[in-house]
Amino acid sequence: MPKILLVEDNEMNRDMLSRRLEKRGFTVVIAVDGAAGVAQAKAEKPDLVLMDMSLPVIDGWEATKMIRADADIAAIPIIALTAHAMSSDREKCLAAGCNDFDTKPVELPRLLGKIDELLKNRPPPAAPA
Amino acid sequence: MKGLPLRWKLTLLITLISGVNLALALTGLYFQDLYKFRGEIQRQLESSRRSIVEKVTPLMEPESGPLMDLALQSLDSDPQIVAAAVYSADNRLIARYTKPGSEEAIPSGGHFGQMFSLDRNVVLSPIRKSGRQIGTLYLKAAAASDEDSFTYVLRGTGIVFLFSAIIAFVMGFRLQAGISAPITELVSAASKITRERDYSVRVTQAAAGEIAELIASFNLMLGTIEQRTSEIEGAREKLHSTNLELEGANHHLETRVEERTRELANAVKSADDANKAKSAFLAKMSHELRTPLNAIIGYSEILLEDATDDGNKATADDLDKILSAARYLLGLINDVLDISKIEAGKMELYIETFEIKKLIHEVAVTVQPLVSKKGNTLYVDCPDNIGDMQADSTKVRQMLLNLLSNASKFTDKGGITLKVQRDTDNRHVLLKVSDTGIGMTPDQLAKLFKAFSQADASTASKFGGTGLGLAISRQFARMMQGNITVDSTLGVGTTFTIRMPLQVQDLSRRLVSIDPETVPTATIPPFKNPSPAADVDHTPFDVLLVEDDPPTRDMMSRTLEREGWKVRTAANGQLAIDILEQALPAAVVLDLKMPIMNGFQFMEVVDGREEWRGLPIFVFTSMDVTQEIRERLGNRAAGVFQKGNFSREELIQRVHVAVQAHLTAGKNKQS
Repeated sequence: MPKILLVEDNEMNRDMLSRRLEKRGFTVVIAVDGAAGVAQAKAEKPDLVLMDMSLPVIDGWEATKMIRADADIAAIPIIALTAHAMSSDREKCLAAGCNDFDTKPVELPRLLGKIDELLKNRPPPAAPA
Repeated sequence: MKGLPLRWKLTLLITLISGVNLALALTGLYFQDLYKFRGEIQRQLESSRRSIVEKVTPLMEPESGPLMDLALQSLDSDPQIVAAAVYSADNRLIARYTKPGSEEAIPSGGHFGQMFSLDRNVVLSPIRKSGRQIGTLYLKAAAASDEDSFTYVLRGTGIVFLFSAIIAFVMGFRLQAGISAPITELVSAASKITRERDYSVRVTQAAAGEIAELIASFNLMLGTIEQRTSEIEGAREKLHSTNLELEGANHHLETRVEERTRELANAVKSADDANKAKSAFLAKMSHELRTPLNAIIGYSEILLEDATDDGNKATADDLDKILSAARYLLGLINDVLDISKIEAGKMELYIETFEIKKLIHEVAVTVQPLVSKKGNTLYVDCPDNIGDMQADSTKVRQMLLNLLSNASKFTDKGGITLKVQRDTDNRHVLLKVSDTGIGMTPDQLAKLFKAFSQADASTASKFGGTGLGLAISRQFARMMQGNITVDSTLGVGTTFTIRMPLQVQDLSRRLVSIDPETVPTATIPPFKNPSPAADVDHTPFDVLLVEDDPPTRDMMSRTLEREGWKVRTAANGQLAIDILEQALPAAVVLDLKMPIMNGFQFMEVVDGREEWRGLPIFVFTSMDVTQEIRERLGNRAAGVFQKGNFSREELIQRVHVAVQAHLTAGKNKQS
């Protein structure tokens, strides 16, 4: 099953989203701040990252840039999640290297649509060792 | 004499003249008397001499002294003669006589020749016989009588003179009063007027002749002066009071202006502060509200999924209610946030190119459950070749969802149609949402696009909704250079039409670098002042005035309107194009330097449209009309007028010709 890294500092949001994603069959790994998010991305090599933008330690934009700068994990699609539904935020996210953007509160069907879209385009999974 | 008052002068003058006359007359009289008196004496002397000579002559021959003395003695009867003597030829005293009592000396003879010159009372007469002098007679008249007579005459004359002088003085004094009194009064009146500036004084002297005329004229003049003075005084008082009033008003006005300016500055500042505070508060609140709502919605969804999976219908229904209430609340928060962003001018556009058909499909899918909930049927009419558009898709989607949810809210078991088509100009898209619902009255239509106002207060409770959706949608449409209009018939249904360009320009962003001041007015109409259904105006008009500077625009539009023309104005070329889409005027008065779309670009657009080509454009610019500008304008401009240096009459005349031509063309087309 596709593995999703959810980087989210808010416990309730994290809990809800992870449970709902798991319920739909995704493997969900979590991180609670930007730095942990980058570390988890390197360690877990997820198929997709859901990145909250306002994060402690380092924020989502910064974390996204760090992931994009790391050749190992640079290709992982990232969907930015932000409460500020402003076009400038959206452009900032895309500029930082996010593939897509969604607003919180999450509308699950819409988010799932975006996730599916990005996962469809991923390179075929490597054969299990 | 010089310093004397007039009446004394006159008196003295009269006295003097009379005195001189009198003196002359009296002197003449005196000398005449004297002459007569002297003549008399001479005559008497002469007659006495003759009689004596007659008496004496015969006595000369025999020298009879005693006889001769006797002859001389007869002189006693002559009072005039005081002394007499007879001398012989050889000057020897022969006889002598002196008046008794008189002590006259008789010359002894021989040397009385010189006596003639010394005493005119003395007469020497030769005594002749047969032509030969035989002796000399000496006679002397009384001198005293001469002196007495003279003194007497002199005294009389003096007395007469004195009396006459006194009478002359008295009469002169009386007579002069007739002349001097009115003059004196005039003088005193004049001096009083000079001293006291009292022009009410009148000279009352009853005089006649020239003086009366003088006084009458003087009084008349005084009357005129008094009237003038009172008029001047009145005018001056009026002026003064007006001045005072003006000063007061001025002062008051200044104070008021200062006050108002201060108040306004304060008000602006506090409004600004309040607005900033409000925006910050709303942003904060919406975030704070959204986080727990997010949890409520999320967990409700999880539970609903679980309950549905477990087949627990009752719980699922309850959860569904919680979920819809929470979603409604979230929608409300989002709407309020949108409104506050629009009001603060912070709403931004994210312009992207998207497929219209795809967006319509998504919207239809989203809204389908809502439509079918009340037994309505959704008809979507969108041509396959409709193509792409460039706009903020999120906002277009939001507008459509809003209109569709409104339609389903107010329609029961009816039809809701979403019709999409290109406008006839092929540059705009029309998105029409029609329903067969309850419709609206004109009153309700008028309030329709105002925030927090539903067509009827009771509808809110009956149909739900915040009343913000339409206001937000219209603002979104306008931000994208479009508009939403409505057409409704009570009980028949309602049609909302979104009309917007296929290529929306992101003016808010581009403008910042060009002219930040014009942004709010030019692109985002102030939210507080929506004028429903008035934005699309197809009524014909005469002149389109395109000018970005508000004072100039105002001045120019007044000038044109004074000619009786219907004028519409636009603050830039883009807005002018939008107006041309609605109706075509007789002429355009165009500024060159404008934000967003300048005059040159505007002319290019106009020339690019066949139906607009040939529209008379009068350039009205503050730029120096250089050769380069003339070349750029080419033959396109029907006239070029430079601001501050143009003939108003000429501009009016040229526009007038264009308007006439337009009218004629319109008539020809009709017939």
